Amino acid sequence: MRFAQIVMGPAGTGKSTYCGHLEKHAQATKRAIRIVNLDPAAEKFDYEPLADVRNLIQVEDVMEDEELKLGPNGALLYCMNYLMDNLEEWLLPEIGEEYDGDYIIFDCPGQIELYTHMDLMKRFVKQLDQWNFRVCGIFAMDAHFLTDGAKFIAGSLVALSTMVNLEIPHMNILTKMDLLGKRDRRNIERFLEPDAHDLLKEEAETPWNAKFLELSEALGKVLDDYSLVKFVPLDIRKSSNMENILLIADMVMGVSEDADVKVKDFEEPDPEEEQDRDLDREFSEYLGTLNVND
Amino acid sequence: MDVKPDSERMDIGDVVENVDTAATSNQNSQTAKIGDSTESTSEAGPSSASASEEPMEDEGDHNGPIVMIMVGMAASGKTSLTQRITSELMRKGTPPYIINLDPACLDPPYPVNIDIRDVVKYKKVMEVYNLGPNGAIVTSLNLFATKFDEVINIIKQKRKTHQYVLIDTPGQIEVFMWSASGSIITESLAALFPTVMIYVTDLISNVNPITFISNMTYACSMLYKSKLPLIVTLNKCDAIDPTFAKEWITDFDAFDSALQSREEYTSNLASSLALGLEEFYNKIEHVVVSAYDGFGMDDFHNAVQKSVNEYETVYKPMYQKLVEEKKAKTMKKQKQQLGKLKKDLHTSGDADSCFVVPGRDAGTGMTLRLDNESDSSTDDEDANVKEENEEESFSQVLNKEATRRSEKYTDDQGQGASGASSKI
Repeated sequence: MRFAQIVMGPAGTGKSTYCGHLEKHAQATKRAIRIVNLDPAAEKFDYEPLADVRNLIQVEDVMEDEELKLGPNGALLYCMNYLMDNLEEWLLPEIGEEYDGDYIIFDCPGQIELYTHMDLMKRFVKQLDQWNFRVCGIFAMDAHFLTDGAKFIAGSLVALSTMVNLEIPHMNILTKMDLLGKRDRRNIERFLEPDAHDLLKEEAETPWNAKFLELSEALGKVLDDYSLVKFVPLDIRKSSNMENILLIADMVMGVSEDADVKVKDFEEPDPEEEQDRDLDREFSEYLGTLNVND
Repeated sequence: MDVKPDSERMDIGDVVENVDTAATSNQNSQTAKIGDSTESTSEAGPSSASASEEPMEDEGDHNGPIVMIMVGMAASGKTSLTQRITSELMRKGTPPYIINLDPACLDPPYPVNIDIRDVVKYKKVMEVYNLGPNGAIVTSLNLFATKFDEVINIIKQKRKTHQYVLIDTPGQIEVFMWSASGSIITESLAALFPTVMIYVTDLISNVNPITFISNMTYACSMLYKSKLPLIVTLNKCDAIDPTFAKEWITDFDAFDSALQSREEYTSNLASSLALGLEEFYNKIEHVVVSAYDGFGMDDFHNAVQKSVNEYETVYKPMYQKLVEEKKAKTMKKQKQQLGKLKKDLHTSGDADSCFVVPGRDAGTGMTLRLDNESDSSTDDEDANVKEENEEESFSQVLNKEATRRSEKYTDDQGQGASGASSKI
């Protein structure tokens, strides 16, 4: 059994920064986490990738291709298609054979349509499944854009729209918490344990809010009922934040068997996988060695 | 051209109508005709006069042209739909004023009045800031946002001649929706003009109920993010029978049974999402169109009209309140954001070289300045003069490029809809 985080989110939300800090954190806590860059348009990132899709194909090359005549967006889709067609040939040798508790992070491109519109990422997830991966989606959102009730709902819905399409366990992280002002940070704290009903009631009474009150309530109900769209804050200065995210991801994927309280919300693991006790035990021991304040 | 007094703002119209260089006058008049077309050919005087006139009083008491912001995922047919809307509007004698915000697009198949590509050189941005394609789009948009107050002024002055303003956005939807510059642009438009958000999505990729609900959820999120009237436009109905989508929108059970035929765990989530979105469908205009054969354009225009009325009753008070109460605050904030942006841009690279410097007329000194003046310790008067120069050159650059393009456009179109045939 191998484990994977697929890191998604709009351009510029700090996906690669998250990956970079995750790598450092993993080194500090002596955890074997490796990162694969899947963004063919990536500029720079501060981690050592296990594999880099730009070795396979680069957006710039595709854009400069005289025959294809593609803009940046078309070129990216072309690259992703190419990547998906070459998963077996390229990615599998790059990430190597399975070994116990393999944990790989995939740093993905920011185009939202890859997740909501196309089946590219779905194909990727399916392929990972065949390679015996358990996958957790990490959706990164910039905390700056979630500072009021309506924007919070907007952000939640973006997260939901990828969630519903990809059909994998999912968690949302709020990046750039360290860059927020005091007031915004206080505002955002309300959203970490959100009650969508309350959030909207706090908003001033405007015709707009009145018009969409029913919709807001209906959506609030969905968000509440599923309690799936929870945001986990990420202040890259705090290693406890990173630890928290890792822990939740572990729980979601069932990395450790005694921490799988939340796993029932999500896809049940195969019975076969459940029997793989040895591995799980090993991981729970592993987790025990980490300094978790839970 | 002389530098105008402080109070007067320049726009493309001024340049178009006042430029007296013999060599370019033919082309310029052509531009004006394409832009103004049948409805307003009588309006020929210097448009600096029109700035002082009362706003147009046709449909209700709009204080400006109707602004339509086209957003949609890549390959949803945004550009084709823009083209279709443009030709429909031209046919009705109300040609739109078109602004392109996609720095990386190829030449669009419609005449663009203001084009981000004339102001910011996308390739140069990639080079100077050492950015990838995505980062360059964001940065180009940021650079353009620093100039957006001037665009607003141009739009303001166009209310006499144009009832509609069409804005085409980058294909990367999240770049526009989830970026600082995107919000600056939408908010400043919505505060002044009746603004409608047009979400374009294609029917073909929505055949899968999960994708459908995912798309609708995204549309709904845009409603909350932008707080603007939203029209969901289901495009490409020529290629596929749109009945399924109409059914799914109006009848939850139909959607649910389509969903149940799939056995995936998110079916449950999708199903309750759909139930939640019923309210969304009730409140939001949705139209089925085909950019290819023009089907549904009447529905589309009705929807726009409805949304504009809605803007007047529901959205305008909100934005007015925003404007009145928070004017100072938001201005300050925006200034700060802009300042920050400028600073960022300045520190991370040479912003100046990313703006288009009119190459063919090297030596006229028409260069767009971004932040050098504000950074250096020039006194106010000096800054003012420079401001004027800056504006002039901004307009001139835009104008020049628009001329060049319209020339090309008429070439492509034969002697197109405007009937202008002054080409030599």
